[in-house]
This record gives sequence, structure tokens and C-alpha cells, in this order.
Amino acid sequence: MIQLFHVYKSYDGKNVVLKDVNMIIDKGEFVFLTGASGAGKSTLLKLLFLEEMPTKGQILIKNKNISRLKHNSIPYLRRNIGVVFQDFKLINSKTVFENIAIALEILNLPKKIIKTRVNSMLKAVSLEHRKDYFPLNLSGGEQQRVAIARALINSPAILLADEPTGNLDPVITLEIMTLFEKANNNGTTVIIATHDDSMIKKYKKRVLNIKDGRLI
Amino acid sequence: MNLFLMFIIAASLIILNLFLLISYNLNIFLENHSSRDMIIYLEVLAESKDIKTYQDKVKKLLPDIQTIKYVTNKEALKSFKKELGKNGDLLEGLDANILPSYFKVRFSKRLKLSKTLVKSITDLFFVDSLSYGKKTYNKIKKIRDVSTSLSYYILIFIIIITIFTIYTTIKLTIYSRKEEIETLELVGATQEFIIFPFYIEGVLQGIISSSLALFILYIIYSFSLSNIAELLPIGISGFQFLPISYIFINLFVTSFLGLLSSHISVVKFLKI
Repeated sequence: MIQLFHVYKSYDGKNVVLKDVNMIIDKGEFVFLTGASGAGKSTLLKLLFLEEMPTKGQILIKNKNISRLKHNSIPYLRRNIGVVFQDFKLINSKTVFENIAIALEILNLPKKIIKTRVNSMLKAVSLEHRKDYFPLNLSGGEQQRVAIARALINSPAILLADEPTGNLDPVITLEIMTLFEKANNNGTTVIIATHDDSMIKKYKKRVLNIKDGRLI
Repeated sequence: MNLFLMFIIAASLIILNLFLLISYNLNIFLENHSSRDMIIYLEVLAESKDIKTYQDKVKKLLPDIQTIKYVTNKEALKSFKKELGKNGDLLEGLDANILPSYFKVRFSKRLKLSKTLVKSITDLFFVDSLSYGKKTYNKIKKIRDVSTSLSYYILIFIIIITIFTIYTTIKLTIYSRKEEIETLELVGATQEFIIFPFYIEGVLQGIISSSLALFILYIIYSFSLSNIAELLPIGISGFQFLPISYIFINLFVTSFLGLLSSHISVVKFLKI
């Protein structure tokens, strides 16, 4: 599903954030990407959903070399990847419902289907009572759940989550992790970047550790 | 959408449409009156029993006659009285013979009379003089030409104003929605999906501004017809509003300008 060969990333040409990263993640795997702050976890995720391109090396996603991907094909690849951003990237002028619906609207699905699926997702992340709220009127934890709902709504082949439970209390964390596991059981490859050791110990999944930009 | 900027476009369009409205009506006037009518005044001594013969002679000389009507001096006086309206009393007691009888000729095409032709008609023994409104025609034509030329200059000015205004509005919208656009890109929205609303906004701005301008102009036009007409010495009751075809062209051009401005803005600020 995801293959990285000798991948390097530098933003300014001097400081190398990722150094010679090689990894293979199979279809349907559940992986924790761990490491200290600044180790390169977020950069690695950014490379996987093409927000950034590698300075050197090859990345294959679903057997497609993303370096050779045409610019206008990028949106179609991204539709297979659900992303939970660390800063959520919610649209403040849209309601919770509209923020989640965006991921389906871009697929030009009928409104009726969008409504049913968003309402069902709102229920899954326990945010039905907040559907007409705007992001700025939500708590950090609620905003994070909206971001998770948006990432999962179109049942993506790959789910990338950057510190998805960072702002959540233990009960909600459990709910969210259950959602991720459910998606994984349905065939979604899940990669979660986290430095929460307790979560890593609890869920006993494959762990990829990054230190100073290198996979160890 | 920025209402203030739309008013700027509308105000400029009102000025343009006003000039076009004047040109359009002067054109109609030129088409319908001066150039297609001729009055042939007859000698006072012309015999009324020979009118048919005279008419035939005129018909032989003049091409493209649509109608030719004989107007007696009595009818001419009556019509003159009518034209004077309230002041018609001034003519009371006057003999009809003070006015000549005449042929009122209407041509099917615009007149292009050569000097030779004019001379051959005036040389007819029963003809006193001719009136075919050449001076009036040329005067009105001059006004029409000035008004039309001004319209062209204003049109260039309007194109610049419209493009600049809509371009600026779209630029501001893009800036204010920068984060939203970025998020849309990251969740897999295509460029078409992202830029489509901006094109719609540009087209709508063009259409709304244009409709607003036409609406205000129509109010000015209606007000002028009902209030100013009475004050003018000549009738403007035949003054018409812009035809429907023009209104459609107007809307089409402004929506195209809206689309073009949005495109320039989108290409520049969304870097597509």
C-alpha cells in the first residue's frame, strides 16, 4: 500500500528533516509512528498525502509513484487518504455538518446521501448536538472529533492521523480509537503519529520510531 | 460580493446606456423621418383637376416611392393649426390660400438625392419648392454621431472599470477564503471544484450590476417621458427604451467581463 525508498526531505536545502527513510506498510495495517517532537513524524505524513514532495527518493502509494504524478491527478489520490491534521484545518465559516460534508461534496454525491452519511458519522463521534455549531464555538476536543469525522466519512483506503487524541479525555480517546480500529477492520490502512506511550502499549500495533529524521 | 463595487460598475453602465439610448433614438428618428420623407410644394396656380397627372410625373422622376399623398391647402392649414395646439387661435380668420398645397412623399428607402434629380423636380412647372429635411437630417446625424463616438469611449472606460472592480473583488474573496481553499485542496477537491464558485461570483456581479444599471435607466427614462415631455417644445413621445436585443447583449457582455475578470484573478492568486 505504502512504500518509501531512500526518502530525504529538506525544506531549505540545508537542514535535512528526513534522512534515508525506507519503509513498507501493507494494505490493512495499523501502524503507530512515534518519536519525539520535531523528529519528523508530521513531515513524513505530509509526504504521504502530498502536501510536501520528497527532496530525494521515491514514494509509492497504491503502487503509484507520487513523484511522477501529474498535478491534476493529486486530488484523486488524496480522496483515498483521510487525514486528521494536527491543527484540524476546519473551515471556520462552515458549520460542523458542512465541514464534514465537504469530503463528500467534492465527490459530487447527491445531497440526500451526504446528509444521511454525515448524520451517521456525527453520531459515531458523539457530535450530533453540535452539528449546527461553528468550529470556533467548539472545544479543542470537539474540533478534533470533527476533523476525525471528516477524515473517515468517505471510508478512505488510508487514514493518516497526526496526534489525533492529543486533546481528548480518556473516554473520548477510547471512542476515537474504536472508530480507527473499526475503519481498520473494514480494510483501511491506518497510520497514527503519536508520542503517547500509553496508547502505543495499550493497542499493541506495529510501531515505527523516528529519531532525528531517521527510521530506527 | 461587494455591493459598493457593484454600484460603481452600475453607475458607469448607466452613463454608457444613457448615451446608447440617445444614439438609438436618434437613429430611429433618422430612419423614420428626415431621410425618408419629402414635401413637394405646388405652385399656387396648380390646377387641382390635374393632380393625378402631376403625381404621375413625380412618380416617374423619383425612385422608390412608397406612398404619395396630395394635401390640399385647407388640410395643410388644419394640420398647421393642430401643430400649434393652444396657439392655434392665431390662425383664426386666415384664408387657406396663404399655404400652398403639396405632395407628401414617403420613400421605401433612405433618400440619396442627386442635385440633378432635385433640379429636374423643381423644374417641373407645377412645383414651387422642395423640402426633404436635409439640414435637420444632417444636424441630427451629427448629434447621433457624437453620441455614438462618446459611447465607444465610455465603453472602453467601462470595460477597464468592470474588469478592475470584479478582479479586485475576487482577489479579496480569495484572500479571505485562503484557509478554506487550502483545506479543500488537502481533502482532495479538484481545481474546478475550488474555482467554480469564483467564476459564478464574477458572472453574477456582472449580471447584477448590469441589471441594476438598466433598471435605474428605465426609471429615469419613464420619469423623463411623463414629466419632462410636457416642458419641451417638441414631442418626445416617440422616444423608446433600449430594445430587448440590446438588453441581452448588455447582460451577456457584462457577464463575460465578470467571467474574464474572475479568471484573471483566479489564475493570478490561486496560481493555477
